[in-house]
Amino acid sequence: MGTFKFSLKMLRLDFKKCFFYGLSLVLSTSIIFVFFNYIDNIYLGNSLSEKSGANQILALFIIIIACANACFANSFFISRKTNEIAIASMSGASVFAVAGYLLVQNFVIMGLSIPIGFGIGYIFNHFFNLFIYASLDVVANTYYVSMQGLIMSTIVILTQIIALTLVNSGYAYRTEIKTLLNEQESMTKKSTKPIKTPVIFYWILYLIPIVLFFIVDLDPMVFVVVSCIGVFGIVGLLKIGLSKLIMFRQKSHLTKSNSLIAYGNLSYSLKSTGMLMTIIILSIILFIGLIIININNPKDLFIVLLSYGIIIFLMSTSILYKIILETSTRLGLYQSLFKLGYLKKQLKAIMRKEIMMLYGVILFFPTSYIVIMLSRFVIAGEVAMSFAAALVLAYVIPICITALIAYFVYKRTIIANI
Amino acid sequence: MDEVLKATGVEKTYGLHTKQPFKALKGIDLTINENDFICIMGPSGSGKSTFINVISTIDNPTGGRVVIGGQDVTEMTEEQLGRFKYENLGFIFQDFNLIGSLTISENIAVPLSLSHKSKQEIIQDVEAVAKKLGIDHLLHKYPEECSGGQRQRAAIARALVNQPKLIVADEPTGNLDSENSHEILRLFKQLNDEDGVTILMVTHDSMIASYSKKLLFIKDGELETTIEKLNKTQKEYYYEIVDANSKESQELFQ
Repeated sequence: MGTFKFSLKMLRLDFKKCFFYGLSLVLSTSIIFVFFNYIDNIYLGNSLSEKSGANQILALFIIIIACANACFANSFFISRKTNEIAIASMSGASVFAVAGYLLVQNFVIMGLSIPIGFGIGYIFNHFFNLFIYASLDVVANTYYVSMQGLIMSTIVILTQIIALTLVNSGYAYRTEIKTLLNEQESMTKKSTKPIKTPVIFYWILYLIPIVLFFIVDLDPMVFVVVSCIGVFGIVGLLKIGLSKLIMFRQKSHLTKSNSLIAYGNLSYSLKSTGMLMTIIILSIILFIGLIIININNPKDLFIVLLSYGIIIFLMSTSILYKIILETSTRLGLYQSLFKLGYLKKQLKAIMRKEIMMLYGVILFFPTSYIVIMLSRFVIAGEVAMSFAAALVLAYVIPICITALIAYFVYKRTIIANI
Repeated sequence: MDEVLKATGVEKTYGLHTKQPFKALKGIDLTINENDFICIMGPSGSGKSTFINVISTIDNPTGGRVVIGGQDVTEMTEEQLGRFKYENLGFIFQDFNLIGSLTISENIAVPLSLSHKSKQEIIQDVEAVAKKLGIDHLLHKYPEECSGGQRQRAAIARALVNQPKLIVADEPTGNLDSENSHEILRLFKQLNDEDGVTILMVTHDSMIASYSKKLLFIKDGELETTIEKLNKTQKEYYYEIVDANSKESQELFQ
């Protein structure tokens, strides 16, 4: 059987793995399409060829995040294929044959997803235009599609396809067969360069904005800038500070077998999702700041609110992919624990604790800034209490939902194989 | 000598309700007494790993009985079995299976934390067993910071810390070089001779098997040969093991 037929056969057999990858591509494509149309919508006074306004920059940011989401979905898809790639390589397939195997599958999925994405994007675009024209009192064709926007969307998506193709081909080339075979089963601690900065420095950086929030002028931009100082602290805490705290907690949990293991797993998960968590935390803080800045400007407020919602959704799904990827390497650990005498309900309790703590970190850091930030504006009467609560719930609820999904997938992956 | 384990007519069939069931174990009997050091060998696919998994409660037999310390493990609920494992059995795996995010000390303490012992008792027991195995200087380190031999010693310490009735070792030297392998087996022999630890080991290596007191050779799911060391030297015992292992190959030349 040639590579082409084998590739298609495996694609058919692995429909579930391909479905979620395809879904991510559909979503990413439709978002890119909608936002490029917004950037070049003549009825809104926007143009790709002219100097960009703040909202156009925002739309560009959304497009970048949508592309990143597609990349995460792709790496998740490829990671589920390591066994197939390894077996093909061991059977004598050349690097080109293996690359061809991946390319065929990728092109089939993209060939189906991208047109569907454009189609759904066209429908979304109509509703998007409907709402934005209504909020700006613009009377125009809601089915308007900018030719330049369409061309730019196509260019970005084609670039994405080429980049992912090269990455996938390179993955098979540079990864050894033994590594491919063990990839799905091994928990490998990522080696990090030793950091000489004392941990207390990061805690101070994180706490400085909290103190300053009570002192600074009631200017959203000042809050955002001050928060950026704190983000450096958060990065350091995610990288090293929390690990040290976890090690300390582990020592005091020697008698609590579930907590001991859960804390250990948490430190692994924090290291692998640290960058993503930083981006989501920074995005939440930035967008809340932008929303407050535009609170009296309906024209821009709508797009900022919509962008906020989309960013939360995209980042939550990216983190979900990453966490599912990370937790799937835990099977060996849980099998050992089962052999040592842990019951299945104890193993589930460990997984539950780990996911709760991980998502607790994701919620804790931005909330600690945003609650203080919003409280000051609410007290000053610049933001309604209900609106502030809605802004907080707008990220808390999606993150809690993805936490539930992460736990169920984690549990199903592990328990089914013990 | 007290009986530690008695397996009677142990059977294991895979795909029991399918069109092609496969009988991996065909009714094996085994009695392990206190202070025994038994080794199981056999060709690939003979059922030795299946047998050891079944009698050590990791897997359920489809026929027969397994009684450990006077308790029939085939009749236990999951909860009873879990408790039974950490109280009565110690496992040593080929790839150590230490938890990378815990220190050596915390890894050794895992069975004790399941037993709900106090923190002080846990620390004392861990330090005692670590000192016995010569790894007390490694307690604060992580598994990735230790050599293969050190990690396996840590795994042995974890298996011993609860003073189990039976230690089950599945290819304990599979990932070690020859020097470390012999060091580990000398340690097993010392624990068996001096501390009366009962050991059941699976290996494919005749030299490693020669450290045991009794060898069971399994082939095609059945117990084919039993060799006891008794008063033989290790060298004589080793040659007898090699002979038993190569019997099938020798028959090809006849």
